[in-house]
Amino acid sequence: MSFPTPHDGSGTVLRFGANAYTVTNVVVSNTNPAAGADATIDVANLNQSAGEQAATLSTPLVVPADDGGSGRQITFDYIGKNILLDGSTATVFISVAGTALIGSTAAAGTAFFATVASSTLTLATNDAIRGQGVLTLVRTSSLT
Amino acid sequence: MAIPAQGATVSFGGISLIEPSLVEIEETFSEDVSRDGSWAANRGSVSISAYGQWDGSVSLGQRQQLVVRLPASVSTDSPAVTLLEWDAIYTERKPSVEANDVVRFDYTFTIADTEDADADTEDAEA
Repeated sequence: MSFPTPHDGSGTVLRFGANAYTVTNVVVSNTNPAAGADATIDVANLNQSAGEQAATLSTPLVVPADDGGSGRQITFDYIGKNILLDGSTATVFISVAGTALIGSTAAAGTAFFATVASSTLTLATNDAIRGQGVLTLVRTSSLT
Repeated sequence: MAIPAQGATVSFGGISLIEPSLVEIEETFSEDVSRDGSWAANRGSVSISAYGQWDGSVSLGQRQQLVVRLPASVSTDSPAVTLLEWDAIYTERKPSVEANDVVRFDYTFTIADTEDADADTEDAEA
């Protein structure tokens, strides 16, 4: 997904489950492409020629986000007093200036699940209540 | 010297098998004495696993030529061959359907007795 410049992330919407968060910072990280090995079926066959890449198919079902790491995480800072319950799973949706970055605009992230890997809530003098959530995404062939 | 298996094809009665993944052949020589005293030979079975089905109509119980074309010359005995061919009967079809997986097919062929083949020929001639 690419966006025309200038862009600074303003107008970003982040929803996790039914809640929309007032986010101040979002980091999407894809760190382990090898995690996708769990989501493929080896269908190499004799029709293939030597030297050809072994045929694979994506598994019909997606690997759950809490299955030990999909290699995809979202870390976000927000203002608010909601605390994310660690281990909870819900649909996630992020859009930038009306364009979906993660999840589907049509169904508001339906079937694109994420699990809370960690969360913090900070209450400090002379500041707003701030929280941070780390979500692990399910692994699918697309982010939207 | 190791021979790559890639490129091997399977056909039964001229109909190809789509995406075969494993061919296991068990050929045995039978020493059963037939009624007329001749020797019956070439018994055994061929098991084939595949991700696909037949590229045409094939029915259980059919007796046809089963052909496995090898990608390179294989010297199982002498001389070296690139084509394994049997008069075979299609005896078993076992599709397996498992959650979160592709459908897999296992096919089994029984190699027909040469004795029976001779008998058939004789019947046809009669």
